[in-house]
Amino acid sequence: MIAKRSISLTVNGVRYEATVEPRLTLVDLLRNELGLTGTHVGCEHGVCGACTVLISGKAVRSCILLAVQADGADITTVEGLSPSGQLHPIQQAFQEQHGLQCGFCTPGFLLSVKELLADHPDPTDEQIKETLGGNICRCTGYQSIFAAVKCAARKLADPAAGALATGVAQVG
Amino acid sequence: MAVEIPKTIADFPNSGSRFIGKSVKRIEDPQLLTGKAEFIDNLVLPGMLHCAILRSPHAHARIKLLDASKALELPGVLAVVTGEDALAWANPGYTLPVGWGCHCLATEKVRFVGEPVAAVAAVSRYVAEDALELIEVDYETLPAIADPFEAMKPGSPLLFEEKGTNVMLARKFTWGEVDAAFAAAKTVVSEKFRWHRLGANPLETFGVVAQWDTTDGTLTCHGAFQSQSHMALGRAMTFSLPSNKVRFISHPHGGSFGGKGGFRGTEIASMLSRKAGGRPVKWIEDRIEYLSAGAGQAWDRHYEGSIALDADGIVTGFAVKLVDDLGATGEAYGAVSCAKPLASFTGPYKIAAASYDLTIVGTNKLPTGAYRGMGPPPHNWVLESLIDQAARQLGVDPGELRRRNYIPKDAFPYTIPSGNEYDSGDYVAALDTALAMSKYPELRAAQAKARAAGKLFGVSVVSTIEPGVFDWNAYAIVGAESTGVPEAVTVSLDLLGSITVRLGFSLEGQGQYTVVAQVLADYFGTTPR
Repeated sequence: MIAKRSISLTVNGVRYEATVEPRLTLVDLLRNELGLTGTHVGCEHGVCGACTVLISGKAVRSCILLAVQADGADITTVEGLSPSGQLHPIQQAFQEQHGLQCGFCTPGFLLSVKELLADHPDPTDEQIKETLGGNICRCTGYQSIFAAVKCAARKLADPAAGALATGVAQVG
Repeated sequence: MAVEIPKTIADFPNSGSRFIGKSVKRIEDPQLLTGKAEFIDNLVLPGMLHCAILRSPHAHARIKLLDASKALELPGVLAVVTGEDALAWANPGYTLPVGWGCHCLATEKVRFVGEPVAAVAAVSRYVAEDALELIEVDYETLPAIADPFEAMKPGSPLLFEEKGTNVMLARKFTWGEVDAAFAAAKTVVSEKFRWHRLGANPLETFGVVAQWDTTDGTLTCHGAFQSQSHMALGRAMTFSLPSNKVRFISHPHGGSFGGKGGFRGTEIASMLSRKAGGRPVKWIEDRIEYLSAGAGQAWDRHYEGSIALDADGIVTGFAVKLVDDLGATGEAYGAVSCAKPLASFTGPYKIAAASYDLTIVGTNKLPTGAYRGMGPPPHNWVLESLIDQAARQLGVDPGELRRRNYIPKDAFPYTIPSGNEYDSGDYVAALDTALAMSKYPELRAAQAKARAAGKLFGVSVVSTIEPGVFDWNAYAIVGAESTGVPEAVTVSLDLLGSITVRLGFSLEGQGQYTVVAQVLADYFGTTPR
């Protein structure tokens, strides 16, 4: 067996050190070693986008990146979007626009959209479609997800338009 | 205490409709949006081991030798199970049709690519996968059959030699005077249809964490189970356990679409737990396993269909002959998909006579399973295509031909030839609404214009009845021996006045928890929180 290697990385602002086998994938490190199970494994070969995380703000597939390749990286996962429990404007927009059904693909979508809106605060329809093309939703809710991205862009541009409380109390 | 169950919202004892029918935010969304929902692969139990399954690379082969001794020597491997363990600890899985199954790990031969032959429990999935490479299997390949018509020929290779045939079920149902309807018909339309095998592919594969308490013989399984009580009862039968010693806990699903059974994985993880002294064992189906040997394939069908029409364009008879290629066994309940069309065999039409000539055949392919409400779409496609062909042949608008044949709204409750009673309907109003919404005349005009310009432009009218998932009267024709659904809802009120609901299902994406909260809030006159 190949010797383990020591790596250090920052995830959602927290610094971690780990000793890992070179073959360990980043998503397995995040989920199984660091306990950050919000990042999901879908296709396991870089196609579906469920495992998308941000490294220095750029979306990457954590199922086809090795943990050792992420040595020194600054990573954001879905857990980093709403550290205080208050939903991020992108998350609020997904809820308001019914941008999720089973929710398994959703963390990956949220991070792809976060990158898009950081780069293009007022994205064109084509830019939105290009971004969403990197994530698969098998419940086939793309129209709602598209609407959620537009809604998120509005919320981020005007914070007063966002900021709704979460939870069951909103039923009705 | 007997409670009168209201049939309509107006019968609710308290507030009426304050939440039902209103636009509400889903109560399950915050957990899903923050990545906190407990999908099965998120579950970690103390001492948990990880399972990997060795699968057959052959469609049909005899196992001459299986040696797992080297795998057991690998550090980190706690247990290996093979067909010998399955013979010792398990019964063949329950199947439909009954008696067309085998053990969860191949015992003498494999019958499809991907059939499990051995499995490992180790300290990590990585080590478990390493161990699979150390298991030695020597196969003697056998002739394989992939075509159901070849499978029915005398002398064809047999899936189960003791059966003497690959035909799992052959039944013909005749309701009413079908032959007379066709003999008297002004017009008969006949066609062959091939519906190829397809299936679900949820973004989350199936997964299970099984724990066999070796002290008191209790089996507890957490998993992405659809119909968890059915799963529990089935495993009780497989392991000859009392049903009250089998506990199944369903976790949220990352999509299901029917294809979320992961058949055999639950049994295999359970046996590994037992062999590893009761440590919990997690098996997460990987994507290749799901696609090649999961519970996601369905509806491999060869149809011949005919309808008879009188001089007025009224359909008087409907005859369907179906050869269903079920795959290697009946363990995934794909046969139910052949039975389910009986629930609405003649669709929305007042067709007095019908017949169903059903043959279910085994081949060396993955057993087909449940998918999308279990089976009516291909049947509906046959009926609707025949109606369309008749419309073309008669020069009648396809919407108009359907309108002529609908069960009239004053005929409900209406019993269709296959025995089901429809309670209500106004199909003419539904059609008129759909035609108006789609601006049907304009569509037809645009179609004529496009076609005149040499362009392809399709417009279609389709009417179908979609029955609910469970119809045991229909399922009985392929041998289902149960009635009713063993899933219950319990509503309780605690000392602090909080209302709690316990459900026999988990999240699958349709917002079920929100729906339950809406209904109960209106029933009790409370507000969900």
